Amino acid sequence: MDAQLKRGLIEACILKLLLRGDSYGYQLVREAQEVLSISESTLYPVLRRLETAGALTVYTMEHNGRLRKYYAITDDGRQKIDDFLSEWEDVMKVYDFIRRDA
Amino acid sequence: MMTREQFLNDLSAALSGMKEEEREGVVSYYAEMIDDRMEAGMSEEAAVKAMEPVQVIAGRVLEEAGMGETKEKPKEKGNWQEITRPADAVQMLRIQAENKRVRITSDEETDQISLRYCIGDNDIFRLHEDEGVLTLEHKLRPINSFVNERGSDSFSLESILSGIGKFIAGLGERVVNGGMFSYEAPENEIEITVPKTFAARLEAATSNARILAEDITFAQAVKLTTSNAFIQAENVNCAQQLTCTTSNSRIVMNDVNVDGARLSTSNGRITLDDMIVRGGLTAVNSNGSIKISDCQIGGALNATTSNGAIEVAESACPELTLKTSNGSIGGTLKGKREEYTVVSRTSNGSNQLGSFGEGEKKLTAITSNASITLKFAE
Repeated sequence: MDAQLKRGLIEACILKLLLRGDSYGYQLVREAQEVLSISESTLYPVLRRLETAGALTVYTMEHNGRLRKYYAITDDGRQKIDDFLSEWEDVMKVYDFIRRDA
Repeated sequence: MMTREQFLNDLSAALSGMKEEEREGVVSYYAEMIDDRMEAGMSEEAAVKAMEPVQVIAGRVLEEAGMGETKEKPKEKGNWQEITRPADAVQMLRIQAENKRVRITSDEETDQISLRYCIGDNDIFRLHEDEGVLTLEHKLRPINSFVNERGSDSFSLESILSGIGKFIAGLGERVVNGGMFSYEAPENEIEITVPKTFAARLEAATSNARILAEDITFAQAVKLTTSNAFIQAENVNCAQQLTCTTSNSRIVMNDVNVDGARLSTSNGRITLDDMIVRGGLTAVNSNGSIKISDCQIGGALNATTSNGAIEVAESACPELTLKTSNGSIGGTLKGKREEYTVVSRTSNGSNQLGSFGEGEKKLTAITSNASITLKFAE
């Protein structure tokens, strides 16, 4: 898949998963893998980018005697999901057009 | 087997080029990934094995880190190039392009020549420098080599998706540029910026795209060539000859002061306004008009077209030859009737000018199937 396209899809997926509630790395990888193929090394820069863009915030909490990073979606992140969906309405129109029998 | 600690140490070492803080971020992220797997019931060995090899991770993280930096400073879309050279090191600037618009303008602050252009997927640019001649050559990739390069995956899902990605990116761009169909993509332009007075010769040739020259004084000859698109010069001085050649479009000169000019097109119009030509001016067109207003021409004016009118308004010239067919010749010339020797003729049209006089200035006006109404301002 085109790298640029995939990056956009992963970002949107991660934000969608965070919409369900705050989450941590391992859980995000497992859940995202149900929809698309993603590894830890792909997820890491995505999380960093979303954090830099203000789409999510990071906080650390103790879990079983160790520290774990949690990610929480922001209002900007919610807006990004809306943007993604409306952008893809246009894409789907093109998709339908290409798919349609001649 | 590789332990958790070994893995994390190796990873940290592989990321040694990164800032400490960022490196620790990555290492603690992977520590957490392993810990969470072990907590879910995996053995340490299995949890470490579930990770990608250290080199793969490091490669990706380092690559992304580079991208992350450019993300923060949003740069312009496309692969932009800017080439600058000290203007006094260039005796001649030559542009040879295909389907690229050319814009030549000046900057009072600079003593550099700057060439700015965007390299698209189909563009091949080459820069040559040889004894003061700076040449920027641009070619479009031939269509078959483009297909070959893409090979059999031209219609793969991947390339279609990538196309859709570019399409979306394009949507945004076009909106920014003021409407879907305005076609104002600066990516399609070679922008040349030179000092206010440009000492070198200039030859710019392109095709199917317009050429604009604005606010410059050229100390040497200028040659602008394109096709199927217009050439326009505004507030331009040229101490030598200005040559403009195009086809199927117009040539427009406004506030232009040159030593001599040769302007040639077809199926377009030639419009010259507020022009001073110390020597001769030749304007050649076909199937289009020639309009010369508020111009002072020191040498001979030769205006030739067909199927179009020639109009001279408030202009002065000691030797005019105006030839067309199926188009009228009209307007006003500065000067008195007695100053001219006039030869004019038409067929199937009225001739209000006639042939007369023995003045020093010469006027020849020839057309057919149309009238001649040229007058003197007196």
